[in-house]
Amino acid sequence: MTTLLGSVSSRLRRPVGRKGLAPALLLVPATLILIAIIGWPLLQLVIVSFQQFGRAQVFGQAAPFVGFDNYTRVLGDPQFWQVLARSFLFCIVNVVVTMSLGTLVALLMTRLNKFFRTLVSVGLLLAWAMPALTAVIIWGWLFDTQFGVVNYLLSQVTGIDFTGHSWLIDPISFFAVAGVIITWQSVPFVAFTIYAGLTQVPDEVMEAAQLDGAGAVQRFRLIVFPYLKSIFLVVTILQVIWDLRVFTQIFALQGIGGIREQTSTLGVYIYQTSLGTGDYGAGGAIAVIMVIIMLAISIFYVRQTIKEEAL
Amino acid sequence: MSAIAATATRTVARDRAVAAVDTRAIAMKRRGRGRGIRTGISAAVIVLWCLAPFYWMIVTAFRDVGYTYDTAFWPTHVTFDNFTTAFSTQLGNHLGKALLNSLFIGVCVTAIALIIGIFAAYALARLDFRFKGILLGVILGASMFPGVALITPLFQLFTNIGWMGSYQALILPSISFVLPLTVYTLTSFFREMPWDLEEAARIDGCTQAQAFRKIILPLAAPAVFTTAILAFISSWNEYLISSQLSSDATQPVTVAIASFAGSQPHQEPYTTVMAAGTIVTIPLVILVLIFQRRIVAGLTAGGVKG
Repeated sequence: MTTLLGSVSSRLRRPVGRKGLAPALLLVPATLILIAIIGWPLLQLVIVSFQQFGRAQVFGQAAPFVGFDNYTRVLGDPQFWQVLARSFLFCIVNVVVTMSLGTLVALLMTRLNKFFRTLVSVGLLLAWAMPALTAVIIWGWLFDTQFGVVNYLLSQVTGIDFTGHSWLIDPISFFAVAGVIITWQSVPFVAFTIYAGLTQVPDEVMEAAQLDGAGAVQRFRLIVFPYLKSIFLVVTILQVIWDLRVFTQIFALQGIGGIREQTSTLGVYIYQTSLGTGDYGAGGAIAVIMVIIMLAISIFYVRQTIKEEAL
Repeated sequence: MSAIAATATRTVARDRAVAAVDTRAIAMKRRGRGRGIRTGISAAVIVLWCLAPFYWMIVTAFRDVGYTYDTAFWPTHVTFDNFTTAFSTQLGNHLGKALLNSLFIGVCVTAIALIIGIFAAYALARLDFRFKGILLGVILGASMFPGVALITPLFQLFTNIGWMGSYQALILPSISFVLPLTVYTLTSFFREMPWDLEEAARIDGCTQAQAFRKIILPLAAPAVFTTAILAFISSWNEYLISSQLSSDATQPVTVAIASFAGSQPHQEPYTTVMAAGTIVTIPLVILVLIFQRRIVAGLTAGGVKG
C-alpha cells in the first residue's frame, strides 16, 4: 500500500523534480543567443579596453596590449569625472521626479471610475509606446527656438517675448528638456506598476485605518508604503538603471541643438570617444566601467526579484 | 426571554452603528464631490499632458508646408501633401521600405524570441534544477546592459562574418534585447498556470511535451500573446543598434526618421518629419487602443522593459 502510494506520488512529482537534461536543453537557445550577442561582445570590449585600439586597428592592424593605459588615461581625464557626475545627477533628479509623479498618478487612478481610468491609461500607454527618437523630435519641435509652440505660449501667457529663446544652449535648460521627455515616457510604467500594487492592498485595512482617523498621508506612509515596499524598491532600481544608461534622448537632443561637451552623459560619451574620435581603447575602458556600475546596481534588482520569486 | 431581549438590544445597537456609518458616508460623499471634481481635473491634466505632443505632431503633419510656423492650436491649411512627401523617395528616404523592414524585423524578433522564451520560461517556471536562480539572474542582468557598449564589438563581429547591413545583423541583437523581457514575463505568467491539468494529462498517457502543447499552451495563449505585443513594440522602437548596423536597404523606421530630420541642413522639413512620425506611431497607437488592458497586464507582470 505504502509503496503504491509512494510510487504514485513520486510519479506525480517527477516532472517537477526531474534533474535530467530537459532544463538544460530548454535553456540552450536562450543562453546561446545571450552569449553570442551580449557575452561575446562584452569579452571583446574588455580585451579592447586593454589595447591600443584606434581607427587603424578597426581595419585590421594588430592591436598592441597596453595594460591599464586606457584606464589610467580615462580616470585621469577630468572630463570623464564631469560626465560621470553629470550622469548620476541627471539620473537622480529624473528618478525622483519619475517616482513621485508615477506614484501620484497611480494614487489618482485608484479614485477614478472605470471610464476615466481607461482614458488615463490609454494616454499613458501612448506616451510609453512612442519610439524614443520620435518623442525627442516632437518635443524638440515643441521647444523649437524660433517657431516652437512652447515659446509662443510662454510669450502669450507672460507677455515677455520668448521667440528666439533657445532651450538647448544652456546645459541646465537642456537637461530640463531632456528630463521632461524622459519622464514623459517613464512615468507610465511606474504608474501602472504601482497602481497594480495598490489594488493588492486589502480594502479592509484601508477602511479600518480611515475609521481610526488616519489621514490620506498617514494611510500612505503607514499602510500603503509598507505593503508596496518591494515594488517601490524594484521600480526605483529599474528607473536608476534606465536613466543612467540613457542614450537616444540625449544623443538626439544634441543633434537638434546643444553643446556636446557640456551635455554628454555616460552613454553618449562612450559613443563619442569610440565612434566619434576613434579612440576605441579609451571608449572600451569607459564602457567597461559603465558596465561594472550597471552590474553593481543590477545586482540589487536581480537579488530582490529572485527573492520575491522565491525560487 | 432574556436571550431575545439581548438580541433585540444587539440589533438596535447594530442599527445605530449602521446609521452612524451612514451619516459618515454621507458626509464623506459630500466632501467627496469636491474631491471628485479635483480628481477629474487631475485626470484631465494627465491625459492632456500625455497627448499634447501627439496632438501637435498630427496638427503639424496635416498642415501645409507653407504654414509650418503657424501657431494656431487647431488644424489649419489641412493637406495630405506631407504624407505624400514622406513616402516619396526624392529626398533619398525610403519610408515605405523602412516600414516593411520594421514590420519584418519585428515579426521575426517576436516569433523567435517567443519560441525561445517559451522553452526557457517553461524550464524556469516548471522544472527544478540547480543554478536556476543564477540563470534567471544572468538573464535579468542581460537586460540591464547599456546597448551603446555593444555597438563597437557587434560592428566588428558582423563585419568579420560579412553580416553588416543584413537583416540578421538587426534581428539577432534585437532578439537578445527582447529575450530577457520575454523570458521574465512568460515565467511570471507560467507560474500561475493550473499545472495539475498537465499532471492529469500525463497520467492519462500524454508525454510531458504533449501535455504542455495540448493543455497548458492553449491556456497560456493570452499570456503569450501579451508578451508578443510587448516584444513587438520593443523591437519596433529599437534605434541605437539599428542606426549603426543597418544599410539603406534594411534600415527600420526609427533610423529612417532620423535621416529625415537631417536631410536638409538648416531647414528642417518639420511638416514632413511630423508626417513620418505620425506614420511610425500609428501601428503603436492601434496596438495600444486594441490591447490596452493586456499591455498593462504584461508590463506589470514582467516589470522589465527592454
